[in-house]
Amino acid sequence: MALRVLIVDDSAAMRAMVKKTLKAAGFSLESCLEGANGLEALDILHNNEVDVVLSDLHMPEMDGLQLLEALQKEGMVPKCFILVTTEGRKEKLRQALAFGARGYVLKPFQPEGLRKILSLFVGEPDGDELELSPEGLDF
Amino acid sequence: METNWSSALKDSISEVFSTSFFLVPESYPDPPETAHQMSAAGWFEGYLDFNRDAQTVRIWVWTPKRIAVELAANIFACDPDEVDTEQVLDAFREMINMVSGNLLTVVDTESAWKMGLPNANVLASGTVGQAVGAAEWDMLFDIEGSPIVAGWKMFTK
Repeated sequence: MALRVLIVDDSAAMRAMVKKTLKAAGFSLESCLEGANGLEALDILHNNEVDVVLSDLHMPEMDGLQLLEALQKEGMVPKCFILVTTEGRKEKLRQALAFGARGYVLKPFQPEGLRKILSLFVGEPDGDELELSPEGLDF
Repeated sequence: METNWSSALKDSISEVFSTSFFLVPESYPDPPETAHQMSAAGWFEGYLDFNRDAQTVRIWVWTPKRIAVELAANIFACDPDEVDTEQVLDAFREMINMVSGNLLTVVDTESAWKMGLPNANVLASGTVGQAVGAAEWDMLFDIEGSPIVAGWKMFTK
């Protein structure tokens, strides 16, 4: 199954890295939308259906927690909302889970980590896991 | 406490560079002074603040342009000569962000520190030693013959 994915991160570099890692984990992408903060993500989610949201926590303007809170108020937290974050402290992560996030992946991460958590919600990917290297993927 | 931040910063840099950027830093137990005497013009500087009440801890990472460009090229999956300065700064901020988050999971198990947003800039002049002088504690790594310097400082407002 090809996934419709939304990646939310204020860093274009990190959005590229998440996309690259998704492909390395073997997932096919039907579409890959990108938002630079929670506000952009909200706008995208109001106008598009996605299977998976991969969102950072720390972002300017609207952070990941505020995004989740806004989505929860509107009753539209996607079924697979995963945090991809440097925030490894339990308190923040518990807050995010309380707002409807389904799990988290800590940066730095590997394809295996993404594959494990996404497989719980969207099933195993079609493709094989690839070795992630600077030259290994073209996207 | 100083030992915790220093060792956690050292471990975080090794972890993040090797896992996310495919660059393996080797740590020098005693930083050679020669790195401090190098010209810092064109070097990239990244930093991030952690705040707790009136206390702030700032961590820095400095690298020559070659390493910074390689970080960006690895993320964007392109040749080093295809990345522009804005992309390099973006990748550098993300590197600092990951190093900081990784470090915080070790030194801040009680969630007492608030992590700020990462910053990055290009140094215009001076020596590496002058830039590093802002830090209270510093450490040196080597990646394929190029130095990386990191440091941190705690201060009270």
